Amino acid sequence: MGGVVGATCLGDGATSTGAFHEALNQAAVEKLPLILVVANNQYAYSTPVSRQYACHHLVDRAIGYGVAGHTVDGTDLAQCLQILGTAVAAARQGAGPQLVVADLLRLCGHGEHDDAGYVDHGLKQSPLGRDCLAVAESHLLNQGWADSPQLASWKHQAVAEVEAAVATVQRESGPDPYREDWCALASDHLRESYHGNAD
Amino acid sequence: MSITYLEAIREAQARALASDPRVFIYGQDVGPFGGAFKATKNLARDFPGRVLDAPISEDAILGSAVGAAIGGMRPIIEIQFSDFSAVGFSQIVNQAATLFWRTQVPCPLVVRLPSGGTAGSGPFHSQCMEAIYAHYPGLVIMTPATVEDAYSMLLDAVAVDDPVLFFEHKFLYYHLKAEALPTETLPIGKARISRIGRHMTLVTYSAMVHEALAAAEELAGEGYEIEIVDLRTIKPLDTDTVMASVARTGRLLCVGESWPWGGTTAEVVARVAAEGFNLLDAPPQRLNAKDTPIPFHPKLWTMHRPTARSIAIAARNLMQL
Repeated sequence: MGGVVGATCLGDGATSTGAFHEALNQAAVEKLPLILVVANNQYAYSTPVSRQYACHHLVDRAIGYGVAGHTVDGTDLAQCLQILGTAVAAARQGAGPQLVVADLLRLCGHGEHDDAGYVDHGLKQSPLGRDCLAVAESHLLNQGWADSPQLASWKHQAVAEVEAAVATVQRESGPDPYREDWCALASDHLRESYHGNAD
Repeated sequence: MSITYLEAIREAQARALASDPRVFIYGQDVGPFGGAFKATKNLARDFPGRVLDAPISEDAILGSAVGAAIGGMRPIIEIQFSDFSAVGFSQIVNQAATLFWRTQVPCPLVVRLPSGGTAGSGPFHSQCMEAIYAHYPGLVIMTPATVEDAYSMLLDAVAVDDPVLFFEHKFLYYHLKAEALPTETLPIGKARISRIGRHMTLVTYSAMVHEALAAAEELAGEGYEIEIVDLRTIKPLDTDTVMASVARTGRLLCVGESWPWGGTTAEVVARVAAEGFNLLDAPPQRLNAKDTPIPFHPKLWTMHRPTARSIAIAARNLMQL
């Protein structure tokens, strides 16, 4: 297992849960090679970060638990790769948990039912509100790593792949409740056959 | 004018806030956003400083509510989905439920728990957890099935000096409507006969009342008259009304949306079997969801929980026994 690190992603909202605090403390005590990437997208559903935490920056959480903290512009793919690379290398070298906080803005709703009407207009206009895909594209162009036709072809390829997957799934019939074995246990011999009267 | 089950819950909270300065509402997204289901729509605007957004910290939300209740406030907590109450379970069952027993200090708090299944909501947004909490002494467990009960029972919950868990069913939020809000109601702990019948007693609560009513309508066409008892609160459980109905019909079917192992239906059957065995003309029966997590796929979900169709089948079987 040499060189293996664990990585997990969460949002600004999840940093308010007891599980996050317990995990960070536990991982620090055990000096685990764990990377925690927080996508701080400024809103947990409708709740702004001002109602979520009171520290100056989420990365300040790292100090309290004795773990390394990193911040990164979450809209900048190149910067994310660089910082994540640094964090993973540190964890591999035995430096313990690495808390990486990426700042960005959620540009859509929490779910498809949510029009995100609560997102502050000023934030949308700020650098946080940049579209990370657009930023990545211009970076590729500026570096001369790809040209516009190449980007268009990659996009076309990605869209085709997703559409093919959707088409495949839509052709499938869906699960048949009459063939479902209704067993939640891996140990089949330990299942209860009793389902009330539901059968 | 018509009012939905969800609007009734909002109106009850507005009335509680307006009539009692000790009442405040605390929960995730309940403030300017008005809640994930809009059960607190405009309340933050209408009652400034008394409808507060919480961080994603169920343990702290419920713990601070216990403290506020001890301090003389009447908190109404919204847990966004009842499933998430598991994260704050200890505050409810170890702190709130035991407080009066330990200290003689009442703990008047209300926890609203949007509960139960809707198609496609899956294992973490559909659970019926009322029976788990009913197991603990020191809690009142409300499971309203009608718009009128949603309104009046929530006001009752705020008035009670004990912790009340208010399980409001998400399936009823939008499509269940009443003409007007009620002006009078049954006392807490009293069941209601939702339909009179003489061939069988069907005991249920919450959204299953409506599945049971549909099944009874179907069975009426076959000559079976089913009496439906809506428990309204599962704790306290109105054993007298259940027993009186079984005395009239001689048959018992108990239906719940939660899982089959233990729980409300088992409790009702146990009480009737123990105290009213001689009233029964056939073994008491019960119908629950299947003993698996709640399926995401609508086709599986439809078969997972009891429906009018499966209730009618169980009732027909019981009539043959």
